[in-house]
Amino acid sequence: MNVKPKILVVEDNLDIQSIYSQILPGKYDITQVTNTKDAWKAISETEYDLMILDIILPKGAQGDRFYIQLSQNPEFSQIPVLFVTVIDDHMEAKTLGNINRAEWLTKPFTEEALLAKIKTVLSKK
Amino acid sequence: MKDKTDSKLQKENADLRARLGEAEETLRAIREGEVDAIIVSGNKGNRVFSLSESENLHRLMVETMNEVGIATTPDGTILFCNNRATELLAQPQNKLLGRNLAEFIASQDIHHFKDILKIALKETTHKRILFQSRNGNSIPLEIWASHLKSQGNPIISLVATDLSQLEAVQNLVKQLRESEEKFRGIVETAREGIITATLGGNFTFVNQMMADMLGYPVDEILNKTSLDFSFKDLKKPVLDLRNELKTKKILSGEFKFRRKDGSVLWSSYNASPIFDSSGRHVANLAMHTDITERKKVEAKIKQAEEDLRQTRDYLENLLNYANAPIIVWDKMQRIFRFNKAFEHLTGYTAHDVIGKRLDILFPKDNRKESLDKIKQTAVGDYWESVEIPILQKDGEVRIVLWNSANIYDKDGKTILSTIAQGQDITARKNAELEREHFISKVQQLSAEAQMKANELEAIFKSMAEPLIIYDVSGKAVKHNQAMSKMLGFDPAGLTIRGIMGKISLMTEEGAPFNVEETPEGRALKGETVHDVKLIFKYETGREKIVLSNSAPIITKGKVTGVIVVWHDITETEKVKKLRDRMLRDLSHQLKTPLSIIEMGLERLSKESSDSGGHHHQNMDMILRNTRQTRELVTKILKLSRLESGSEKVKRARFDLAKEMLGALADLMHLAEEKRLVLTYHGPANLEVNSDRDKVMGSITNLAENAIKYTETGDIDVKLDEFADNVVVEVLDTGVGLSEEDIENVFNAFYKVDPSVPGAGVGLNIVAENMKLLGGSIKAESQGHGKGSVFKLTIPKGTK
Repeated sequence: MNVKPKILVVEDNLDIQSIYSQILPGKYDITQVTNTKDAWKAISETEYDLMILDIILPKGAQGDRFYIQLSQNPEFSQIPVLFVTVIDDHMEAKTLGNINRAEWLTKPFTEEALLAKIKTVLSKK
Repeated sequence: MKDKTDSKLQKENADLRARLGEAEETLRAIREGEVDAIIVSGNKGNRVFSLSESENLHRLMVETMNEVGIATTPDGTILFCNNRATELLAQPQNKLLGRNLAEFIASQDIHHFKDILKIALKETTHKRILFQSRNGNSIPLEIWASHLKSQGNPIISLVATDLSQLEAVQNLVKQLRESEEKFRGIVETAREGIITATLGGNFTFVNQMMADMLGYPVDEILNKTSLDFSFKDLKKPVLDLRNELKTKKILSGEFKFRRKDGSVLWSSYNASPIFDSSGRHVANLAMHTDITERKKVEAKIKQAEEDLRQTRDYLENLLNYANAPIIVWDKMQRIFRFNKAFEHLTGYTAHDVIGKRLDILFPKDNRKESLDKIKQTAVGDYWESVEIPILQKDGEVRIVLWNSANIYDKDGKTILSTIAQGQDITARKNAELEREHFISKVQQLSAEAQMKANELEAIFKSMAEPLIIYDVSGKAVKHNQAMSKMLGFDPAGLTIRGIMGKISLMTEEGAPFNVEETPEGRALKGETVHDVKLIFKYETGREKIVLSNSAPIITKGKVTGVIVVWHDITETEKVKKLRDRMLRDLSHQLKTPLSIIEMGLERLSKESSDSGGHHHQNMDMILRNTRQTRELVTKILKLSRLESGSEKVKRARFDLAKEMLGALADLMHLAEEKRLVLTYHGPANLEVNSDRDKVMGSITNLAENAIKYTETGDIDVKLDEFADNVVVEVLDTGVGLSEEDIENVFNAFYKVDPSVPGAGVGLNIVAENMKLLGGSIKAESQGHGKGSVFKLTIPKGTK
């Protein structure tokens, strides 16, 4: 099967979105949204293999809170999540929500680090 | 005795009469010429005088005659007198002859003498005539007068018998008879009962007194025996008595009679046997004295004596064994009684002190005073509970409360001795002193306490901090205005539960509190609780953040209440929160663009790596500095969070050994780049309860530094545990540290080697982390170029 895995990127920063656009499209089929409202809409319409989630999102929407809602919804609870954030304090991030299950990548990241993480998460599926 | 005297006298009387008769007969025979011869018994033996022989023989006979023989003329002139007459008249013969015999006759009897002289001329006559001797004695004489037929003048022969003895005997007999009558009267009217009885015991005579004593008429008693008037069968003792009388002259004893009315008659008797003239024991005589009353009195006396003895014994025992010390001293203040309790009190034995003066019992200091008090007793005062200190043998002084009383002589005035009874009140006295001391202490303390309370009250009232005190049941007993202002109501009298019910109190995390878990509740269980952050939510939705400090009030080891002070930190917290948010925002807002620049540059750098020349070199330079800037920003933000106190310790259990192995594995590529050997020494697993990020961040920092500052050699990371701590050591063979370095290495922005990239805040962050975790960091080095050792000591926190 030559079908590329589908990745939903929830990232409000368009600069970073552009970096994702430079790295991922060769290997993955990516959809990028800037807020959780659009993210809900996206996952409702399409089945994704991975969600890349920023923690600090605009308008008070928090990536971790969105993740908890996601986990509590049986329809979406199985979507693998990779947090990519500037928050480098593991514990601090953890206290924001129960994200033990999720993988973690700190910004700034290198292309290799991003691809390696994505590979890890997808292989767990 | 009386009968004896009586019979002897009678016998003598009879003898005298016989002799008188003989003399008369002799005179008559001589006178009548009937006698031929007279045998005269004398000391020369029996001599026979023949009357016819001579007148001399006559004369001799008359001379030696026992009777008074006198011959007179018819007028009484003495012609002859014999020896007996001279003896009687106490005159020599020559002085008597020729004198008239009437001179020797008592005047009242002279006419009798003259009569018999006249009668004698005719016939023989006799008369009792009282003679008067020269020495004044009156002598009664029975004079026989007869006419001697002689040739010449008529001669009257007078023969006289001395009647003095006879009359004395007759007198005596008369007196005896009188006394006998008296005696009989005495017997009859005697105060003693008199009984005579046959040998068989039958009463032959009983006097009136005896009858009265027995309560019977005399007639009823006669012929009865003692046994008929006795209580018990006294046969044997009575028979024994009778037997005894056979051999004894007199017996004495007591006898218990039964009176007619049945009552008792006690008699004291004397009994004796009666003998007849031939000495045979024919009867018994007993004399009884009524001693019934005496017996009664004796019994009473005996009883009284017994009572007295018992009383004395009782008093003696009471005195000796009384619990109270008792002492008796005489008027010279010499001790003569000293009971056991006193021995116990003083340690002296009675033997030690008896006879000694009272002084020895008093301590020197009080001796005079005590003796003065005692002197008062000597003048009749008695003490009414006086305290007198008593000196013990061992020198200790007891305070004793004394009561005393004087013992007076019969006159009721002279004090014989004084008795004193004490009560050792030393303990009470001490207790009193202690109590007084205690009371004054308490008063002092309470005054101080009052002052303190006033101070506290003032502080309490003026305190801006809300403060409340609960009693042990959890009821609010005191609070200040700040508290009621904060609560929005007056909490007086409400319970913790009641107050909690009226307000909304939450933990920092927003969870509601159980009453038991509130600082108040915990303090009630004895715990002192510091700085518990509470969210106090008003109905309006407004929140107050409070630090609650509570402590149990412990009285005598028991929790009796709780004091709670709230510290309103709402404003501080607001500022802190604001700053935290700013820091986080700043972090985000600084780091995000820096990250984007970094990522963009990295991509550019990759793409230009083939182009060569300065282009790529410059790209690398920009990328490197961007990265450093980004790291610096990260660290500064972190440090500022640590220093502001908004950084919190989040403890959790984790396997430190495992984490360290993981962290070192991540660093392995950095070490390998510089061809350094990075080695872990320690256990595979070691669980701690600490803040993982801070612990691991610190260790990673040290390890990164070691790699940075070491060009060749090894980096050893050791993990060990010592007691309640874990020790992490990072050893390198790098640049080492000077003394100056060691002093400053933990200060912010201090760099040992300015050429080494980095902000110089890493060790500062590690030191801050250690401070938060209750651990420590230490740097050691032998000097520049000799490598260094960084040592972390962190509490395990697993206890």
